[in-house]
Amino acid sequence: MTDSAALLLLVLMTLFGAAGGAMLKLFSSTRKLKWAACGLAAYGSGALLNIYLLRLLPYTLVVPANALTFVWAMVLAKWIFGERIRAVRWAGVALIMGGLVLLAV
Amino acid sequence: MKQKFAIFDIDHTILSEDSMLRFVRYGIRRYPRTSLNAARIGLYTVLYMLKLLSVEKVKEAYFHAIRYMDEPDLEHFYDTELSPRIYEAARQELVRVKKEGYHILLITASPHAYMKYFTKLPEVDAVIGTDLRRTEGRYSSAVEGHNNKGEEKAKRLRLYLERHGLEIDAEQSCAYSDSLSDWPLFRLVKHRYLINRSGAGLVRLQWKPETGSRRHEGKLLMIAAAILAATGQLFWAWSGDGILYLLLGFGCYGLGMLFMLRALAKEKLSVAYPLMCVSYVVAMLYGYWFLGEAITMAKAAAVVMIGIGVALTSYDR
Repeated sequence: MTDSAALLLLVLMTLFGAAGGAMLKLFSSTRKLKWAACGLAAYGSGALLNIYLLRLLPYTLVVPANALTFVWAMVLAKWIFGERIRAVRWAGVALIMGGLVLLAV
Repeated sequence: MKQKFAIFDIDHTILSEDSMLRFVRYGIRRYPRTSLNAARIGLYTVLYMLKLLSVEKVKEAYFHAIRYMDEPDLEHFYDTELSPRIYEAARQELVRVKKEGYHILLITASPHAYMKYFTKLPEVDAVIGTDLRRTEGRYSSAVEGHNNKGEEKAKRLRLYLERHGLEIDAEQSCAYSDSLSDWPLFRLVKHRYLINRSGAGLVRLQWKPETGSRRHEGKLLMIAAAILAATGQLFWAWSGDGILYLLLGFGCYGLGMLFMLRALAKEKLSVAYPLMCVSYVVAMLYGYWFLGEAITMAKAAAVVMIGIGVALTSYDR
């Protein structure tokens, strides 16, 4: 597998993590079991991807890349829960991305 | 129908502080344009003490910032400023009396506008507070009717009882307050508790605010979760060497998740999430010690950038 494909999987891993969190939040507000099941499944898939990626990429890249989860969580909060995002938080996203690029190159 | 009631005041009874002063600070922090209003608060307070101004009028100055707030703001105020200041002993008392089948009412002179969120506590049946005038779905700082204090509290309690077809079983009911101005409520029940003060005819209860170590419990749990996350992933990085490492990794992952959930229940996101960055620092050290991955200037700078980034994305006034 090429490095860029592995990096893509890394992004996917954090998306699973954030989606899991969002679905568990939906579960806590709607009490619908399907959201709990989907949430746990997403968390599980994220963990499996995490294990796989630790064999492909340096450990010191994979662990900090988990910070992308916060970015996804913010984006999902905007999409699903309609939260307002202040400019200062987008600046935070830019810094996280910058830091990860620095780690990945 | 006769029913036993547990009636609580809120400020300095359930809460270790005064919600009104917290609200003034919160308003200025969130809407800095209201800072000039502090001068009006000072002036009105002096006039009130000289008995030149009604309490309703003074409150109007204190709650000025509410006109800029919507419901999510008010709920956020409850979650971040009030909920963490609930006496642990008060929480336990609420749980205890609920279990014994009491109808639980919180009756306060502070605005119902934000005190109503105390119904987020599953034990609380209703909150009765001072009403603020509403226009177009927003609150104004003008008091509607009277300030809910003294006799007014008993009056509104009677109104509540009428509306719900209930009757107080005085023999079994109890009331909790920090103030003798709540005698009109105390008179309606047999068991009368005064919080952190002594008063004739009242049983004194000593409730303490959370101590330092308890206050930081959420932070410590979050740091532990961060270290577990880094450790779990280190084991996973070795999982090619055997199933034991895989299982150890899952153990750390699960435990870390549990710690994080506990931490999030105790601490606000803007404090908890940045602490997760401890795991990136730990990972740099683990990588250097156990995996021979060098710590470079670029990596150190990246971790600092990510740390600041996470702090900003979870920033919350």
